Amino acid sequence: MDLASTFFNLDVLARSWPLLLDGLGRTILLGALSIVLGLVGGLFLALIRLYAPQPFRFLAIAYIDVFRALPVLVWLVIVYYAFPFLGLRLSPFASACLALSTVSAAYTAEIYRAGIQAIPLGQFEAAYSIGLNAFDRMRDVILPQAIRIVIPPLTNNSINVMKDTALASVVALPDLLKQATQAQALAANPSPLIGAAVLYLLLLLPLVRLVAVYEERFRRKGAR
Amino acid sequence: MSAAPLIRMRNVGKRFGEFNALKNVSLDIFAGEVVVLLGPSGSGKSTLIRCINHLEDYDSGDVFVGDIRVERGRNLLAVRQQTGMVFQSFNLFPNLSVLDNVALGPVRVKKQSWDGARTRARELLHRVGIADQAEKYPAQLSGGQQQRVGIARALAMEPRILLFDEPTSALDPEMVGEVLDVIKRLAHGGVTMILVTHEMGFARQVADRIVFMEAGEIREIADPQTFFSSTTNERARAFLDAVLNH
Ligand SMILES: Nc1ncnc2c1ncn2[C@@H]1O[C@H](COP(=O)(O)OP(=O)(O)O)[C@@H](O)[C@H]1O
Ligand SMILES: [Mg+2]
Repeated sequence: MDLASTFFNLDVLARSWPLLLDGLGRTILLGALSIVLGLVGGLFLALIRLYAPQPFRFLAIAYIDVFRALPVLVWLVIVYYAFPFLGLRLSPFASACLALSTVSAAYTAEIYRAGIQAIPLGQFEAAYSIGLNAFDRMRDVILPQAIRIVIPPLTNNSINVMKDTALASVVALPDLLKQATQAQALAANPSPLIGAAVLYLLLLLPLVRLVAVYEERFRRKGAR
Repeated sequence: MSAAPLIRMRNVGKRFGEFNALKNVSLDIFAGEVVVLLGPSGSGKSTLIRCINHLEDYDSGDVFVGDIRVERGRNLLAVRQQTGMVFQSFNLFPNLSVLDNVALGPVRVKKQSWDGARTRARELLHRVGIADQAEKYPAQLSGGQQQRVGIARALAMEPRILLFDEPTSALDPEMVGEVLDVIKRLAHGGVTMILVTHEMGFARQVADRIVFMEAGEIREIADPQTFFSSTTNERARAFLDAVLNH
């Protein structure tokens, strides 16, 4: 039994290919949806944390702290296996999406907050001085500047969310990892797992590169 | 003067922790007046003008702009519409073109169309002598040009009064003149303003009244002639000696 026919068995790979593609599609859908929900939710959380009246601010801080401390896998298992006892029965996909996006929102909230707080006070004061209301101040002045700062960390966070989608195989979601293990069992050969790993890499390596390039550009700009 | 003052400050006090930045400050400013605030660094000049548009919240007393009391709440946006501010460090919005820096306020606050506001913004940029820079971004301009954008941005809201906090202090010396010229033209054109500056010659030329501050208090209010040549206030004398003799 040689290495190639064990781990890179083209015959097995070809047969499991449809299954892997099916899983990949679901992984991308889950990841993309969770990322978007996390980005939107995190922005609201950050604004509440920074500017809302006290009780809301406290709630936002509590939310952010709890979800940054709770392991995603634990939270996912609770959503899927414990929520039904409360009468809330979610599909594997919905459970995974809920778990991933609620956690992601906690992280992105902190990223947005850091970005907003990095904007000089003078920008806020200039916006106040021409009479902009809170919404216009954020939309026209503060957020466009903050976004530039937070794109790299937000992309990093998105990479993490995409990676964490693999946890969904625990709640029987037929995502890329689950389909790969399925195919591996069927063929009694681990090649599909290697195939899945390659697909994960193809999906995420470009993003990892992108962040690296962006950060390098940012660093050089800053040094000028 | 018989008309009601545009700005009314009554016994205004402001503390930063234990430190009294303003003590019992009372001052009236009338439409059309140019009031120059002088005083040593740390005497409370910035704090005073920042209380007028509520960038600082005062602790005691009253500030009125027209008949609106300056305080947190619904009236604050109206106060800020009526008071334009020009900052020492310009504080232009780096994410917007020069033109949109000027047009933003009218579009968002006065609900003008972008087209209309930009047309008006061009006129204002022309008025401060930088019409040709409209499409650039603030970072591409010199300091003097940036400050003139700052003035145009403040003017765009058609405020009843302009507040200047050391508008030329961050500029290289060769650019001070161009900014002072713009302010001088506004002053002679009847724009009401209150101005903090260390440019004594300029203060003397444009001021209708000089307000001298020290240690958070107004020590003297006088016309420039009197103030610069024959003030009897000991501290004002010492201040003038210090700034004029070097
Ligand atoms: N945000 C602040 N926190 C604490 N102290 C302040 C703050 N702003 C101003 N001060 C203090 O208040 C005093 C008056 O400041 P300021 O009005 O800026 O003086 P000026 O403009 O005349 O130089 C100074 O001693 C300054 O250190
Ligand atoms: Mg000052």
